[in-house]
Amino acid sequence: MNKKIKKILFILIPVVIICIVIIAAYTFRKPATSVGNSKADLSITAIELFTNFENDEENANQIYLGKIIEVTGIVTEVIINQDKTTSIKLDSDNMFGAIICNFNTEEIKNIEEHESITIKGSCSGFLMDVILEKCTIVEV
Amino acid sequence: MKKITILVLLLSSTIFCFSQNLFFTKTGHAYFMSHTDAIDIDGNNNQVTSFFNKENGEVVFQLLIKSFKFTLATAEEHFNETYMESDKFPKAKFKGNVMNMNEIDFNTDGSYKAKVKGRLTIHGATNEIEQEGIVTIKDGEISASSKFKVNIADYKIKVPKMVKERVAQTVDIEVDFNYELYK
Repeated sequence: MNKKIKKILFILIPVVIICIVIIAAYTFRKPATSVGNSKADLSITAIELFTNFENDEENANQIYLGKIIEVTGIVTEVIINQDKTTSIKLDSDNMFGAIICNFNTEEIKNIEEHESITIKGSCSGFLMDVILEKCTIVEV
Repeated sequence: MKKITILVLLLSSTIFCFSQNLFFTKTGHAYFMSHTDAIDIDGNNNQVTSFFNKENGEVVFQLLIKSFKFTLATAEEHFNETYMESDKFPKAKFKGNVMNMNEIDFNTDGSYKAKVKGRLTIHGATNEIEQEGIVTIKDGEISASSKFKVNIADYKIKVPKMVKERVAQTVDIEVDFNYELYK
């Protein structure tokens, strides 16, 4: 085997291995269960966020959908869902709806009603409430 | 504003007695299953909002596509981005009526077959559908469920050729709601 081929192989093999690892990692990666350390795209109060959705849902969808939002508000309810996950409801200053923050994995402890809290989550839209998924607590 | 409009529309026919006849839930359940020989893809959504009017049989439900949780976690991203385009079409909705309200006795415990007709919107496309469901009355509480099939081509959901064998053309859907009185 001449030296040139050896040299090429020496470079090529690690490159191929790295490529395979990257492709495998990309293919089998799981979607994160929480937005974790991702930087928030924007921060807003719970009341403002709700009002924006209620006034013009289409416009709000364009701004917020799929974005990581840091939302600050007052806790009105801590809900343990049927599938054992936790949701925290934030006051929207509106009797019909609230901001509902869904947590996937984290255990939520020591969160009390009427407490002010900042939560980061990915916005999935508006039904009667504005829903944030994959939430994580930023500050209590 | 929009919500108030929707509520007014919902209540318009029963405005005088709505506190007795309008039922709702925010924690309804929806399930879908895409079964193929290659792979089963399924997901659950536990935040389906639904209203049911006992007076005139009107029934609506809506859910957020992004609220589906998957058995196979890797399916979530493809489902939202490739197939459902949930940033563009965040919701699925149904609005219709129970056609055989006279066959359902809300004062007697039991399970009743309900014939439901209405408009189903998924992925921004709307179709008239007619399906059967079951309304169950127990101790004055109303619950309802339905199993039906959706042909994804009817809702303009496109599947790339490469993965055609992995996504079912007909997807099984199940919904169930435990209603409470809307106050």
